[in-house]
Amino acid sequence: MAVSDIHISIDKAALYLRQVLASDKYSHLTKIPICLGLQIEIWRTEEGELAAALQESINSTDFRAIPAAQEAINMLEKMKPDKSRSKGEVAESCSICFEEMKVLEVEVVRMPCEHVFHYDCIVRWLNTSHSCPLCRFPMPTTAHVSQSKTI
Amino acid sequence: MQTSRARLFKEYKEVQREKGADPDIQLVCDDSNIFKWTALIKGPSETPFEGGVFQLAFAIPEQYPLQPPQVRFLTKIFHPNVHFKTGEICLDILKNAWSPAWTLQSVCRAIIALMAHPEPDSPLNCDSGNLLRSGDVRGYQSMASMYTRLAAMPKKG
Repeated sequence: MAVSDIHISIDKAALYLRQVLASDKYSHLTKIPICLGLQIEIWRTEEGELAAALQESINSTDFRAIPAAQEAINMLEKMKPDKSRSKGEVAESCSICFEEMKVLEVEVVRMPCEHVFHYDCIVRWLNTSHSCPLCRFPMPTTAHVSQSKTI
Repeated sequence: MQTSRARLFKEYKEVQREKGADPDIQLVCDDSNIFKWTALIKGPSETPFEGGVFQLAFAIPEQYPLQPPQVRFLTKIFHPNVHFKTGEICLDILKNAWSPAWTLQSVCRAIIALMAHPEPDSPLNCDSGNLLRSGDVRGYQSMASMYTRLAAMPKKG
């Protein structure tokens, strides 16, 4: 004999059962079978979730950029700053280390976008990110290189 | 010599040379640690931050300038892109759009520009972002200027 399907929260279940047992309707029974189904709902405050997400995004301060392809870096031509001058303007200083560039001993590189940097400086940067520090000209990345190979 | 240290020293010398050139920014290097800087920036005019002076804290990573500096507001500010509690700043050039051609000085200028032009669609302060996104510019401005008065202006009396 089924009473009914009722939905009550678990903290009210004991009270409900006591009422059922006390009622005259079931006084003739010595055993009352009870079937319990549990439905669990977890309530998280939206605020707490937001705060956790924010904190997570703040903590991930590591700067993730896409490096240039090694092949592209290798193709950059090293030159002496005096030689590079004949091809076009060379800035006074390297925009990465801010040191002078017209010092003859230090090799420089002209990027495809015409910007000139110290060779060591731009290689270190391109191993971090594939865009030109001055104009964001995108150097090929590994994805580009492998794509062009398969075509 | 460590690249980051040499580069920061260059910036330090530039800041000393250009002292007062930009009256809205006052960058100060920690006496004993070149990787720690603070800045005082003036709230841009015709914004709710006008008249306020805001302090920023810079922590510079060893890999600088290949990696961006970490910057946060020490002065409380009500702005969609600044975390109200921690002062953390959501600005592309401090994350993936970083370039080593930026300097601490130019980062300060970018932050001043961000104060004048909030990006409510990438909010760190949702209350502030929601006011702007719902078109309640007046509500945003009044909250922001209240906090400017409370936190970024000298106490009267």
